[in-house]
Amino acid sequence: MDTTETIERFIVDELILGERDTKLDPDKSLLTSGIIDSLGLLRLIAFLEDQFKITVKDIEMVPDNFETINKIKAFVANKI
Amino acid sequence: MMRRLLVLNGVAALMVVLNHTASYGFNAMFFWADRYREVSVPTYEAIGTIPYYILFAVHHLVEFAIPAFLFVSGYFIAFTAKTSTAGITMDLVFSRIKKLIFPFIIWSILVNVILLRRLPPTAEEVLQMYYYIPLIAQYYLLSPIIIRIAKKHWLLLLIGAGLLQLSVEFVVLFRLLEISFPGQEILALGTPVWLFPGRIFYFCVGVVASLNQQRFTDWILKYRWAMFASMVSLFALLFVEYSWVSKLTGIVWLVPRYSGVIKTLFAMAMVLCFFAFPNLRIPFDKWLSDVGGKSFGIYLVNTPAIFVVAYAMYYVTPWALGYQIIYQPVLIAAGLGIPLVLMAVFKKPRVRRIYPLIFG
Repeated sequence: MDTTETIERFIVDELILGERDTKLDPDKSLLTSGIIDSLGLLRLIAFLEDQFKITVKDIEMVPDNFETINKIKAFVANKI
Repeated sequence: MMRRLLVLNGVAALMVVLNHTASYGFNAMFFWADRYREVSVPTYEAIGTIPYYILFAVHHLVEFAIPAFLFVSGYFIAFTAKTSTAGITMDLVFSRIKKLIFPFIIWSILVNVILLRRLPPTAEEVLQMYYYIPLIAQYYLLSPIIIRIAKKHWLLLLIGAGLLQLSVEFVVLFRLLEISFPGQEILALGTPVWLFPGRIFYFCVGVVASLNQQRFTDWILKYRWAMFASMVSLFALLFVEYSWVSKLTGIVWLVPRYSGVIKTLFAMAMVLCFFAFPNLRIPFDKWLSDVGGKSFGIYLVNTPAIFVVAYAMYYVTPWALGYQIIYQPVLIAAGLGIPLVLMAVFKKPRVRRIYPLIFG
């Protein structure tokens, strides 16, 4: 699975508990659309740190890095 | 700080469980003592014993749980507001509230109607049982205004919210002390635990912390030892306040009726201390993070879980009620274990569709 799929799978399986074949728009805002709430975002960050062996610094905890799947992917790619 | 937020949520979820098990511990001491010894109830002979003081300390220590949840919620609603120039839209607010409504209804019916046999329950009984949910719904509804004020006048917001919250505590105190003052009846309308004035400060601190993240972090680190000393002092003052009010009112068992004015300051100090020592490794932080991610489900299920086990022990093993060293671990295991098991079961493929309805 590539990075986008990995992130999407986590969001679908763990956060929104969707069906296996659920697809998310990689450019849709996860935050303002209500797909991810506060707990969901914290869990997502914990997942990214564990899965990709990165550390998300406080200064990087800005909406720009986590708003959409594509932005998350770009953020992770920069960190790896 | 981010990891700490999830760990904080996990610690807060544990504290919710401990708060409820401590309550049942007091029940066993004062109101159910006739189940394991020859005595009329209520009896307050256990006041002053070591088990009593331990439960009392636990009960007050865990007061920071709901404030912690509110702080985290305030933090993230403000975080989400930063993602768009429109800030928080009512669509987002209602999507958040929607996730709360079905679990609230389901578990309220289960606890009030099926377990407690309140037929029908009053609105106050329903709103009080899971008071965090109507409370956070109100804060979500108020969040567009709160965030707007926080962006321009954060200090004014905090002072205003703090004064509003403290005034609610003082109204409760004055009512207990039978002190009358003008406007008392109107102010008393704001005292129900599920109504927004009572805990608004915690939510606003979360909002302000999020909007001023770097400044907040710097401030916390600069004053961390003062914060720690405040937390310890305020914890001690909780006991002093309780004794003082108990003496003045003549009410021996005050806990169900009064949580204290100092509690507001203590709870906030405790939440802030959590971030004041970022290099201090919290034991079992990974497990706590995992629990933190399930905190809402734990909050919902622990109440009926502990109720069922407590009453099962009341009828089947009443002798255990006299031994808190046995009683408490059993209740804690139920309060934490049953929610976690249920959530794991409802995540299975065939039933996961209804998971959000039950656990949010």
